[in-house]
Amino acid sequence: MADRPADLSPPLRDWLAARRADLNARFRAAARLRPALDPAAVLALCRDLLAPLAADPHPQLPALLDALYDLILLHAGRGTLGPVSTAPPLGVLFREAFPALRPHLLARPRALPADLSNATENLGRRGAAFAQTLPALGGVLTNPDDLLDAGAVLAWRLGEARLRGAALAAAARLPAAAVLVALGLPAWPPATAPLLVAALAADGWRSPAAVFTPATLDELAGSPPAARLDALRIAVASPADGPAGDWRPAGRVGDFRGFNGDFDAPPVLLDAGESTGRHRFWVRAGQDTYRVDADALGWVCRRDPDAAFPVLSPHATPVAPRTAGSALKKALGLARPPRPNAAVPPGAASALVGPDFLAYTRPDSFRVRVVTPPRSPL
Amino acid sequence: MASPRPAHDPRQVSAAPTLPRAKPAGARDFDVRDLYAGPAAAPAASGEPVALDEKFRQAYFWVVNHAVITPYYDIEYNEDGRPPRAFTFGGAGTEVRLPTAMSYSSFVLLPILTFALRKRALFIGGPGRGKTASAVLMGLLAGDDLRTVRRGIQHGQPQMTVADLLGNPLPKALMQSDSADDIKIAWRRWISMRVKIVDEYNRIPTRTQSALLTLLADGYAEVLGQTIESPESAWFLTANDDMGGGTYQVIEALRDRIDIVIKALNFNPRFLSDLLTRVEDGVRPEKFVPPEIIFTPEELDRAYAEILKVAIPRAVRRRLEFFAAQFDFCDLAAREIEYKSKDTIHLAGKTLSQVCADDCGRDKVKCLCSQTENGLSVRSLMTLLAFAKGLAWFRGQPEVTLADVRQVVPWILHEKLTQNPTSPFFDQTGAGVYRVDRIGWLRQAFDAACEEFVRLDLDRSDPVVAMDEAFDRGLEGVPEQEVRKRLADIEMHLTQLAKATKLYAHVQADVLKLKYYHQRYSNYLRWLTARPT
Repeated sequence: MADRPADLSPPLRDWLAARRADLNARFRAAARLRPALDPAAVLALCRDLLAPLAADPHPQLPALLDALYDLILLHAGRGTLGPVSTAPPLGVLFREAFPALRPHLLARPRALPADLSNATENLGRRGAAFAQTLPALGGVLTNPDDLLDAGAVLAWRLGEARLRGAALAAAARLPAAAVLVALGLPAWPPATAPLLVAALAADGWRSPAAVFTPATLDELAGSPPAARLDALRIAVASPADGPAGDWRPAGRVGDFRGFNGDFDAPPVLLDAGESTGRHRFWVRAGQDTYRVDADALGWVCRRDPDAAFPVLSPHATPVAPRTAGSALKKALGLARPPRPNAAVPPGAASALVGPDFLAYTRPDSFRVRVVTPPRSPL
Repeated sequence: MASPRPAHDPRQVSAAPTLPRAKPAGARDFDVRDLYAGPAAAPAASGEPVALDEKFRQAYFWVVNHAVITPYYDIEYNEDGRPPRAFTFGGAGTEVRLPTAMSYSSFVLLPILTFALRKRALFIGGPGRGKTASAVLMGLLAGDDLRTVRRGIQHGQPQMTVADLLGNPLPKALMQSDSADDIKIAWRRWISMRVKIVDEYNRIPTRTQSALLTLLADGYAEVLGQTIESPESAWFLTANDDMGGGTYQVIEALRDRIDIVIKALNFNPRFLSDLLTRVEDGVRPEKFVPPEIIFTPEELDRAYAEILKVAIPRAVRRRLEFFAAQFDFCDLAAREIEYKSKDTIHLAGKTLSQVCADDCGRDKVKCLCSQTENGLSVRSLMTLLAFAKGLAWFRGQPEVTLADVRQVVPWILHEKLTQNPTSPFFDQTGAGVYRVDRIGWLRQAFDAACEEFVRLDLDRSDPVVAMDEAFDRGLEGVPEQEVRKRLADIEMHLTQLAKATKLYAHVQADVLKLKYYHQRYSNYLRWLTARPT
């Protein structure tokens, strides 16, 4: 950071001049921790990444540049950001998202860049899609808290199934445009957003894109009467129905460790009592126990060594777990007595059977199969 | 959430929790906070306020990691059932222990506790050991900027006047005033600061020390009949001489008001590379105090209130009572049990060493009473209780443990208990070092008292405890028959004590309490039987 190229914008030049000693000291401190930190690479990253954000002066710009400089030191030192970055998602975040999110970053200069950097890293291979969508979210939101909430919805849509509950709660508060962008349906009319949230709360095993037919979307793009909206709201939140023979595979969860999964042996479902449900299972694979969060948008499997549950035999009396959206159904007067469950396929190693879903495993497969009643777009 | 910083960055704050605990079964769900947590941020910032004890721990770790190079972890804790691994070295037989639980550096921890408890600390140690620098850091934690903190430091020097210390009358107001009430004083700014620093207080002239005493002890200053009140503050005084000597003798009342002593230890040359880094980089930690660890006055008030709520269990309190009882007692000081106190000796113009030379029938190597010239004052005991609570709170404990008391005892009593160097205790092999090592001496004294407490099995068989509990329930409604039974119990216990034991220090404390209960019950019985039916 010793040089001061003439082509830098005045705000960036001023910041560099004013903070020169401090920035150099921070670089040396970072370099002691990570000896591979290359001053030329840091300088290049600063030119590359800070300049687009420092085009115009702003009272919070120095704080933002400070925070970004620290992020650059962190990621350059770890090899997660640079000309030969090992984590392209961070490159997308810094190069594409941050310039577009400048007003939000200036509103919360110290924390927001770090929060978004962490989320991008935490989402792994889905981080690039997360970073690519942030500018669109920023464009329809006005404050950083909403951006973080919308980020949670986006992360859920990208497959972070553990955020299902939090994301649904956040989506209920957010502006419709942000919800639709986060759910990957930016072209849908705003009136669809609350209906989508209700639909996904009632049944996570349906894809958001498959909730409405094109005709209904056209209808919602106009100004449908309130009665029609109410009817749609009740319909989307209604439980799926159909004879057991018509149930269809809704998802396959987990995989063999050799194929980017977690299991080194075919898993069996465990009886976790009230804790389990349509979107959360515990399984044992070999000696390890895992918690699996899953819905139509993706699944996340995490080792849970503290869990000690018995195996769910496919022949045992099924536990009827609490289903997602049951409170909503009850509120809408849709609660109903349990119906006959779907038949567990022959040869299943374990099974979890509920009124409107069946999860089972097979002795020759590394996946948990989820079957639900059929549901057509409205 | 703090902005991301490399670990060596002087503004980096340790991520909470600084005191991780074992994860309970059924750990909480992954949520939005977890999505945004990671290497680029500390969790403190997400809008959720950090618990105050956690914030104090973060402040401690920031000072230890970035501000003060102190490799001394002398406040040792061990996990239950995991004793420390110990190594004994030749020479004087030094034992080095590797604690199994999170341990702390007294030079950093004690100022932070003093800051949280608004007490008065004295830094002692040779020049250049970081005494003033540590005090300055506490000032910065209180939210004052570096310039203000530096300007607020009172530098003791032989020409320091009361006006230098407190303020001057405004010349114009002085000339135009018709009465003392009209005089306006330009008070010194430091009086209103939450952290007060007096450098080399033992170089302040005696008269100015008296003015300082009023401010330090009573919280107000007076000049020409005008007064100003000081907010609740933490005081940090420094002295180069361990014994408080200097250009002027420190007045006894001022010394007595100092709650705790903090030793500035020497620099370990193995850490020269850290020093070199600071020289080369021009690092001045005091310029980089992270905003996350700066406390508002409201936070400090809240922290103090939280500390006071930490409970001291009866079992811990009993150990402390037993320990405290050891020092003031002297069987040879008087005939009456109430006056068997070292105060009686001093009031007669004598010293314990003169009186203790006579035989009192006790083992003067074993009995702690022979080791000190004086006993513990009420102020010392109150300070002990406050710091024990503060330490437990800082460690995230719901109540004070015996280990907390053990750790604070030496620092609180360092200047409070005066050694009797003629005690046969110090003549034992290996005990001579305690004549100079007061911390070690006080720690072993506390350990010895605890060992004796255990030997007497007072945890399980202490009849006075049952009497305490009965009395604590109150006298109202206690029938005459029950009162007579309790009086008989007291007399029976006194009979047993008189038969079974000499009047040791702790026995004297018990006997005096039994006598007190006897009086209260007798008076109550008198009232009960005399009242008209």
